[in-house]
Amino acid sequence: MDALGLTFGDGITVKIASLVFSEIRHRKLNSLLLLVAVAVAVGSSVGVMTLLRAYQVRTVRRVAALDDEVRKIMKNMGFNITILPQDQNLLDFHASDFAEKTMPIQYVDRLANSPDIVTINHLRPALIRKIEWPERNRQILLMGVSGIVPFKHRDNKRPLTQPVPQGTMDVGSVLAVELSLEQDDEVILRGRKFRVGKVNPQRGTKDDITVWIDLKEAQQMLDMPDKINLIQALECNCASIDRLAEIQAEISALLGDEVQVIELSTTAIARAKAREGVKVEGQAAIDRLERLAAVLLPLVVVGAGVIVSLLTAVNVRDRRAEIGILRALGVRSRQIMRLFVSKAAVLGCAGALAGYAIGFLGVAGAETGGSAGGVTASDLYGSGLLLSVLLLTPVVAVLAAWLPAVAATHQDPAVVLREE
Amino acid sequence: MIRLESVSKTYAANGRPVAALRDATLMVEAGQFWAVRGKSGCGKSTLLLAAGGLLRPDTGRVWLDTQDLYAIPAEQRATLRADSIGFVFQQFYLIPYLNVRDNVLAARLGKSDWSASDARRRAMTLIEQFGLADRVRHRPGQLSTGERQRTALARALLNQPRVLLADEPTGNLDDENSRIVLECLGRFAREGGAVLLATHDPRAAELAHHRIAMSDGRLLSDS
Repeated sequence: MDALGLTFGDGITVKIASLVFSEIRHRKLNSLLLLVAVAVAVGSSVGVMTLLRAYQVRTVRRVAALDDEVRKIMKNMGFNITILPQDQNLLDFHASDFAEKTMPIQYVDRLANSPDIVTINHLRPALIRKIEWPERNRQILLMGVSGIVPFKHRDNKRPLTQPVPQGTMDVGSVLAVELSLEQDDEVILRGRKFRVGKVNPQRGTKDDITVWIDLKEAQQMLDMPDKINLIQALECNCASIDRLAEIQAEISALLGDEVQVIELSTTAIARAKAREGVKVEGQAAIDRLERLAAVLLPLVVVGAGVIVSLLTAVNVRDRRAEIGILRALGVRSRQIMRLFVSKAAVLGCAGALAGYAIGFLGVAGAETGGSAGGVTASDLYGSGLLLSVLLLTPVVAVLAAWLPAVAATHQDPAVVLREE
Repeated sequence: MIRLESVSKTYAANGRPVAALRDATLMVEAGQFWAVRGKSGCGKSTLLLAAGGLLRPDTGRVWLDTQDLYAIPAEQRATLRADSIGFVFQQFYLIPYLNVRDNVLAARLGKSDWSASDARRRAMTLIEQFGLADRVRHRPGQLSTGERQRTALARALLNQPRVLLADEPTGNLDDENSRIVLECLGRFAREGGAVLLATHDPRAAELAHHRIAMSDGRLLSDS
């Protein structure tokens, strides 16, 4: 091996580097053990970090998939949150299908204008009464509704429903059949003229006997200006398992104890619960891994550091005669030191690369593919981790080799040359 | 050129002080070849290490020309050693993972006053001079003892030192290789260098211009 053949100019650094590489090749066992120690430490650290990333990616993906599912269900379902006046008896509400008590329409504006309301979307105020339709001699549910009131402080989603234009009415399917109403029919309701804008399909609920008109027209018709008796909303998908309490707390903080909130139980809620379950379970797994990493990583780094330090000390002992003759030849202390820390740095770099490859590929191989929730190797790769490993590992190796290297520079060449 | 002035050195061995050098005074001028004779353990190696700036004496001073070697910092002494002093040892102390040429060039690690090509040219001249041209790519483990010592000698001479300190350089060699080594030391002195040879071999000492005996750490006689 032409170890010094790499020299050029007067660069001592290059000569030292050549010496380091030649020595690494010569003392294979020592070098290999050092490399393996570093690679195992880096490999296990990278493995844990990559596993952690896999769990994070998978949890985020599963939650996103359930989010999507909930969103789709909710889109078809309509409103599932009802805000009622606080003094409304719920037994009466459920028995009569509407709230007797009323509240000011300004509540809707206060909710819509507050930056603190984040758990609900799509506010729609309504005024509902069970009334007689004298012209048709039929009792109906009259529902005055406005369009969706936009939130002032956020990007508003596409409205769930369209407003009922003034002068028109939408009619429930059963009522339409009963009264022989069709789209575009002209009708009179309590002396006011309306055109049937739409006949809703059958829903199997009270909607089938409901007539929807514009909120302001309903308020005038019922002589209840600026009054509403419920606000409909759609709960936000970001709410937790205890979302109703969260929504209630958020609204109460703004409106005090003047309203109460009820939630319509649906499959969306079951999905939302499942989503929360996945999120909680995923987070628990991540927390467990983070705790493991918090214990394992320092242990691994310290353990590898101790091994590197011991192997360097062994290397220093094995090279006593070499150190002695180099000192006799006039090689300075810092050059002797550089021999040992450079070796640690070189093997640290090589160990970092090997360890990263082993740790990353090992975990990526196990965590990607068929049943791995669509996680791919590129999802798990992070240049930050690779860079950190490549930069920090040689530094740790050099620090670990520092003391034995200092000891090497303190070796008395006279003692060595006399004793060897 | 190199002068030891009342140099004493005591080691501790098994908790007891052992005087390796006692008030040793010696001057080796340019062009002189000195041999120090004595039994093993009489202090010859200690004398050479002290003379070479590798072992600080307890008392006394060591001069290289006008420079008191132990009055300067260790790093400066290392530079002076690299510039002016060549060492040859009985055990050769070749670096096991370097080939012959690189072992010779290892003497340049402490220096930067020549270009790499000049250093290689000079190394090859010495390697050919010592009959090692066909061994240039061999490592020490692949060389005979004589070839190893010749490599060590080439390394000692690479920086064109003014002083050559040789500690039992023929101790492990056959007659032919001993002759080559001693002839080299003689030639170095004839060309103006100063040689201090420590040996217990009377035949080796015969070739020196000056001989001095050593016993129990004391330099005894001059001839």
